[in-house]
Amino acid sequence: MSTLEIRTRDGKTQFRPQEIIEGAISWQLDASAEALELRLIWFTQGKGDTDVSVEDTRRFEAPALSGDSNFRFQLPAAPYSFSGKLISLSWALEFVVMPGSDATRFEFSLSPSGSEVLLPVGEGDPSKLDTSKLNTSKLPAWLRARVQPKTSVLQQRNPFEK
Amino acid sequence: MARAISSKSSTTPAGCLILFFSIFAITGLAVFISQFLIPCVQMLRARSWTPTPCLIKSSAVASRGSGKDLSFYPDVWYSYSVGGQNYDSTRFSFFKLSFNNTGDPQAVVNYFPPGASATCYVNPNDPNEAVLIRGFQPKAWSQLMSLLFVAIGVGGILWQVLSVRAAKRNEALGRKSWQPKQVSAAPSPVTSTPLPADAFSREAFPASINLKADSASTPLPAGEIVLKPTATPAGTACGLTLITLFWNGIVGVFLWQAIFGAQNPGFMRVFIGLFMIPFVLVGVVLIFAVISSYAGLFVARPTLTASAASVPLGGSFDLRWDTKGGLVRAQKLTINIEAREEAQYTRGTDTYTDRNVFYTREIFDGTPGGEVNGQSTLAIPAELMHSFEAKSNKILWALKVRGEVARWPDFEDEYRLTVTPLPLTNVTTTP
Repeated sequence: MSTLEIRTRDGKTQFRPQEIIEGAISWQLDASAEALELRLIWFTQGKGDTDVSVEDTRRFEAPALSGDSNFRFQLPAAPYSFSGKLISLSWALEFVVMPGSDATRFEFSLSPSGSEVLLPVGEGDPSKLDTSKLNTSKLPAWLRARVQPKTSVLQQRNPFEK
Repeated sequence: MARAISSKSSTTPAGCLILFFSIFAITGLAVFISQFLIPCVQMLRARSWTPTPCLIKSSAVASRGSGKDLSFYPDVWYSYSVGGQNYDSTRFSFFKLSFNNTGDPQAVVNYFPPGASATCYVNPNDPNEAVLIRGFQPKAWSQLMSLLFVAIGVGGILWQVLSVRAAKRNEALGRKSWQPKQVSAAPSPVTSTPLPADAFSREAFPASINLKADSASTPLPAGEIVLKPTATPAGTACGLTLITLFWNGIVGVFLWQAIFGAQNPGFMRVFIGLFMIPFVLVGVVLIFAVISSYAGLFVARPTLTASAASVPLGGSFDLRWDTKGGLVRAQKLTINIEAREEAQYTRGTDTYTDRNVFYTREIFDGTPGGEVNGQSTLAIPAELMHSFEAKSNKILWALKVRGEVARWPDFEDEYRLTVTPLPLTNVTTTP
């Protein structure tokens, strides 16, 4: 199995609209590949069928068996990363070997504050929502992970923190 | 190592649906023309044909089809003489006679036994053309069912054409600036086109594109637009009428066949009749829904006017409501703003949509009685999510208007709002 890595500058995982996301990718392939592709994507998770949008790509034709390269994307203004009771939307960089199914993904959040927008779980005024009193044990697993402090998935996948 | 992400969603091209509905419409039209219209025209023409003595040369019950499609008809062969010349014909009626039992055609055969004399009707301009029975056949009324297929087909085509035109218009106006550029089964390269820095300023969203505006109404102050509901009362009534006609038409045919079909023994008629009860009840409910929807047309509904076509997160806009006209007044009127998630998913061949309202605010709650006017300034919380529409997942903002009417169906209308992302000037850069 090929080894693929995505690193952002300073291991940053929170971005604001139209900010620049930059970093480096490195790879070590088992066999020669037609191309490598780095994609800037967002995707939805949750109860609904998955929606995916590829916002930008960088393609590396006929790459050597091992190597590295820098990348730089300007993030769009929207959509924001968010989590609700039914839907969550995440942004990611996806590094793919073509052809084949080897890929790695680096997830990050995009919003005015940098962290994902948490939709109130019930109807009401979000300013009155006391998140410290939320009983997360009753939430679905995928949502519970979202409302808990996010050291979690993003940082585990960040190669800088290995 | 993660696999490249893929989407479970699939799209149905508008062309395929138009083709599907075209087949519906063409089939229905072909059946209507060939089985009803042309026979009716021939029947009218034959009123001037000459009654002529004829001799039945043979008559028998014939069958066509097989299995469940097996049907019977009277096969009568007769001859007649015009101007000293003999002619033969097998045309019994202009209408296609088809029976699911041999009883009725046998009765016809018994009435026209071989060797009997009868009167046929001959076209004076073309003696080759004759008919034995030139009147209308009551069974032909059932052919009018084909018009339902025509209505569904034409309605479906119109719906698709209007949807495509609306989508193109929206695309041309740049409505999808924060909607997905590409939702694909397998990610593929897409050229990035970052939005301009002022993409979310008010000027970037002209009044005509983000909220459904009623351009035919009286001129409004600059920037104001009259909101249109997502479903108009008239549209709902028409849609319900079509659905009810279709449902009850189909159920009616089955019921007729079950009860009056001579081939069914008595216990089968009772069994099928009982089996059909739920379907008939649905039909009855649909009829009440149609009546209710038409009654709703007479209720005075408020006209909503917004001060801007779209509003950014953290922004505000003025909303005005006026209730005029109508024969029936709402006794209680409420106007709320709400935001909700909508997730569409498939299980097997069925598609479901789950909704979750995560924000709601009351704007007006009153018992107007007569005409009511009012206005309010609405602030959109900055910390929530802007409008977002992908194929299966949506964040929708809407105004909900509910009216309670005494001894009359209540109404609930929705007016979609477009909440744009926070203006970029309000977004600080990451340290």
